[in-house]
Amino acid sequence: MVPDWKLLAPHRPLDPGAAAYIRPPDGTGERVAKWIAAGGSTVLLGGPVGVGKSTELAHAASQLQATHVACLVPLDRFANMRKITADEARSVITARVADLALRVLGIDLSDDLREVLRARNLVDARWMRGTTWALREASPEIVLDLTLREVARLSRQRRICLLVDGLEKCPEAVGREVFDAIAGAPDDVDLAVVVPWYAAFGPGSDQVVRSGEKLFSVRPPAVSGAEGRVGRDFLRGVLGRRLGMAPEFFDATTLIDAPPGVTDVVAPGPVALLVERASEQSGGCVRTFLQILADAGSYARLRRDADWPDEADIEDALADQRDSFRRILLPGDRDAILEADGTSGMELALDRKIRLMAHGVLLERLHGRDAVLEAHPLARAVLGMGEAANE
Amino acid sequence: MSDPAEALWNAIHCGAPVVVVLYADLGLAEAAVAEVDSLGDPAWSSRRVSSVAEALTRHANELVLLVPTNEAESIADLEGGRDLFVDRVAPVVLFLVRGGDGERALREAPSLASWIRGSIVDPEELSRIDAVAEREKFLRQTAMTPEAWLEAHGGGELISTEDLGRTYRARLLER
Repeated sequence: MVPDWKLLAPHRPLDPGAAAYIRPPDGTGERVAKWIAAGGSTVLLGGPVGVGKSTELAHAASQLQATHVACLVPLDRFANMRKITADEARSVITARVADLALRVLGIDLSDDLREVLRARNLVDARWMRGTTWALREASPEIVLDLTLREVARLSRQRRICLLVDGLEKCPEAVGREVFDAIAGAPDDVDLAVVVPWYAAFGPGSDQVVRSGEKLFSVRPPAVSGAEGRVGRDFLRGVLGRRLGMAPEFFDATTLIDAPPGVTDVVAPGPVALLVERASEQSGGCVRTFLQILADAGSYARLRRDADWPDEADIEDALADQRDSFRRILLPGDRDAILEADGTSGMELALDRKIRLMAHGVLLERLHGRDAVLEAHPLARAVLGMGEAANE
Repeated sequence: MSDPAEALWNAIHCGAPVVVVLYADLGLAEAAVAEVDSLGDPAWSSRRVSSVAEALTRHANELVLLVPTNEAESIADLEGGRDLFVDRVAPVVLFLVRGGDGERALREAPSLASWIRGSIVDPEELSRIDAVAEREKFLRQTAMTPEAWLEAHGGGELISTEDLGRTYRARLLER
């Protein structure tokens, strides 16, 4: 079987209901969906880059379909989050809800609402059925409100959940304005919102969207040693599903147990062991894991016209990753990381803590009920720390 | 660590929507752009632009060579607008001065930095190589010396995108 490494697409989150989805060990998407289905009306989602926040939000949307008109709104796919205005955010949300209602759920929205939406270019002309005397000058705020109310009333579920992605990329002032816009949704609209770094990793005393909100942290699974076995299984599952191969194909245990000469049930040679190494070095971050293997697969193709990477390909892909980690460090980061490693991070200056956690240089792990910071394995190697230093 | 041509080729062809190439000073920008342009897929056209807004107007199959007039502004725009490029077939290659405003701004741009992790290439830094060892490595990988490779593949016949990278390396290593 010939792998197509471009299928790994490390930069692309999965859509709701995607067949390639694999449940992560802590099942954040499921937990978010259960919380909302149980009546928790506002969820905040935070975590470092590349940990799978968008994919988990999409999975929560798919899980909520039975009880809610669950509308995933990836704002960052429609606007530059550096400059987005509250009204732009409202318009994107309105367009997504209208599209879901008309195209996916087949809800028969009124001609008046269609006219209002069309006047603002928020629905396609094919959904128009004739001219009405609709309110044509409604503000984006009112149009959103009208759309939410009518969709909720006409839907089987009678309740809407907006799952809004991309707000972690907003500068603080822009983010505040957009959060105010989202918070302006009617109280009976449930919200799940990916929040900026300052809200995810800061002191957490301020309300971000509206009262009663609950923060869910998306943490990468442990992947080293015996306690990391579940996390490594998860990453192997992600790899197998994206490449369209059984995860056992990449299982080092299967490789060892396979009968001699059987080459089509396990990856050739030491590939399973290389996948194991990539998973450990990824720190449990899905994007990093996929980037390492996509790069290594590409090197194999370039260097030898080979389908599978060898050790040198993986090591070069890891070196590229380490180089990128090195470039994002500021003077003083090394000492701060050394001090924070294995602690709660309380002693870290807040700005530095937020920046290092957002980049995933410092990862948060749960030890029992306590959250402890841990330097990413690739950062450990860059900084000459501990067990990863000589890798 | 891979060699410059391999690293550049890999960054451009591995499917990443945005890639960063560093160069040492303004006088070397043109050479860096030409180098990247020469490694593109023969099926891609290429277009040089100077802002993220301009890059957004280009077709997904076009190799976009972004040499920003304002590096920090471009990093901020890509941090906020990264996902507008998610469907690209050929990447946007962002050229930054090593140690300049853009590279510094990357430290405060976690979303963009995460996307381009492993795809930041500094050809000059990578080119500080042991030429003898690299020639031996080329021989091991292709069973040809760089000169023999160029004789066999440098005649202008249609070659694969993988071979483009090897041809480029052979040119660097030929005596």
